[in-house]
Amino acid sequence: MKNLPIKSLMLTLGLFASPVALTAQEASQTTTSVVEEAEEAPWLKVYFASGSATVSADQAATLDRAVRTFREGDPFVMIVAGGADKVGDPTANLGLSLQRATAVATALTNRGIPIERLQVLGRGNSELQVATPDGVAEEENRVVEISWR
Amino acid sequence: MKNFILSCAVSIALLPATGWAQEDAASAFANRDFATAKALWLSEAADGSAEAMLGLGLLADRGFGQPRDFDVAFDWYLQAASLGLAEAQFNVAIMLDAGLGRRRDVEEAQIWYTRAALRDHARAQYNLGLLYETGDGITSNPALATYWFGKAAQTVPAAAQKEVAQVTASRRVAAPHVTFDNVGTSQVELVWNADPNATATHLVEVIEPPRFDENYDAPTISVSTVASGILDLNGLQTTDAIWRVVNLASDDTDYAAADWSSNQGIEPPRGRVTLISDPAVKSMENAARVFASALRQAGYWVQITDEVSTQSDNFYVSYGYASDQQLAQAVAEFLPSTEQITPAKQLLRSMQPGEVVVNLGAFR
Repeated sequence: MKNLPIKSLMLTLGLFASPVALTAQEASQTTTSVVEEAEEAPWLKVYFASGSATVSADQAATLDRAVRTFREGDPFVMIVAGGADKVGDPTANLGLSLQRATAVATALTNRGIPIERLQVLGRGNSELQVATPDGVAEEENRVVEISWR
Repeated sequence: MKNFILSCAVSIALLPATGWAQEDAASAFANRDFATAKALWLSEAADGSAEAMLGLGLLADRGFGQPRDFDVAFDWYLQAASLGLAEAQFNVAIMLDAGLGRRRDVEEAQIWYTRAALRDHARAQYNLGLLYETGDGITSNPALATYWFGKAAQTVPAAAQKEVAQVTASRRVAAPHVTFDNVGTSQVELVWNADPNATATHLVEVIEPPRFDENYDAPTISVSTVASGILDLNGLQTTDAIWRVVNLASDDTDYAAADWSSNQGIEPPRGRVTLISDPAVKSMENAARVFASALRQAGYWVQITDEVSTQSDNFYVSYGYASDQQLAQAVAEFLPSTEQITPAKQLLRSMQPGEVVVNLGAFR
């Protein structure tokens, strides 16, 4: 969770514009404490096939685990951060990472998480799980991380 | 004019900072004035406000205006949950289910999920469905998973898409395991676990016991459900009641019951016996009174009636459920007969599990 809101290349969808603005304001006011507060349960990871932004059926258990940790109440925000491996064009990978995050966000709202509690972002090829040279297909990087604070 | 506009702008800008117009804890919280929110919520919580307790739990859970503390959060959630606030019940369940700041305790989580689910909390219904579907830490129960997913389906699309493989082996009756009961004058709430191979229907009976040598009454609450709990907010007229949960066979031929419970240490009945007597026949009426007295002394509840069920054959002693055969035989031993009485199995209208009907008019 280190420096997540500051360093990541954050894209927001129009759909999520209002809640993200709210959480950005929250982050600016409590930057230090947010970083310290964030550690809770292990992060959950949803993996994707190469080039795909479709959540496969075998990832459902991970999504169901996420909804079994997310409590009721305004202060809780679930962060859904998409990534991509370094195969292909970085700009396309940025778009792909956001599509993946959006797909996971949709799966979470389908499980009853209110949409205004979600912060969705695409990291593209930044903050990779596993550092690789360009063109390397790395499963660990084709991932959407779910965390909450 | 310019100065006027400027001063207005300054005044407006200062409003949130000075805390003006913060009427309540929720708006203080929304303005991130956590100290004010906490002070107001503490005061309201002292007056018994469950919402305020939930707010205090959230402050501790998130570490707003104080160090993050799962124990404090859990305690506030639990207090609010015990007052019946579904959101707090759900948060208690989540913390138990995920093991946040404590050992994971799925059996307790299941109770709190169920209590929130009974209050139509859709995410609790979904999570309860997941618990029963996966058997993660408890015994899986496909029938209950399907039931709770069905309840959540209207508001949780993923629940509507669930297809849980059902138990294909033949179902049997198995006594439910009651995990929570709160039967008071303001409400009746029961939570239980069912055996995965048990039949789907459960009967909840809440009965006010008869006084002295009065006839026993029909149950105050008699609910048949395929859920794993009931919530009746209409309550009872009395704290004197006994209750139990019964698993019924799908063809209504048998049952298995959990033990009776009560708040007041009320002795449960050994069985319920209906004596059908014709008041016009003096000797029969007298005999009914004698048998009733003997049965009551032996711990049975008795009612004397002149209503002969039109469904009934003219049997002397009958019982409705296979498990009550021994009970019926024991009741028969109180009765006069020149030969061995063989109780007949026939399920009469309004007959309860554990109830035996004696038709004195059929005595030969």
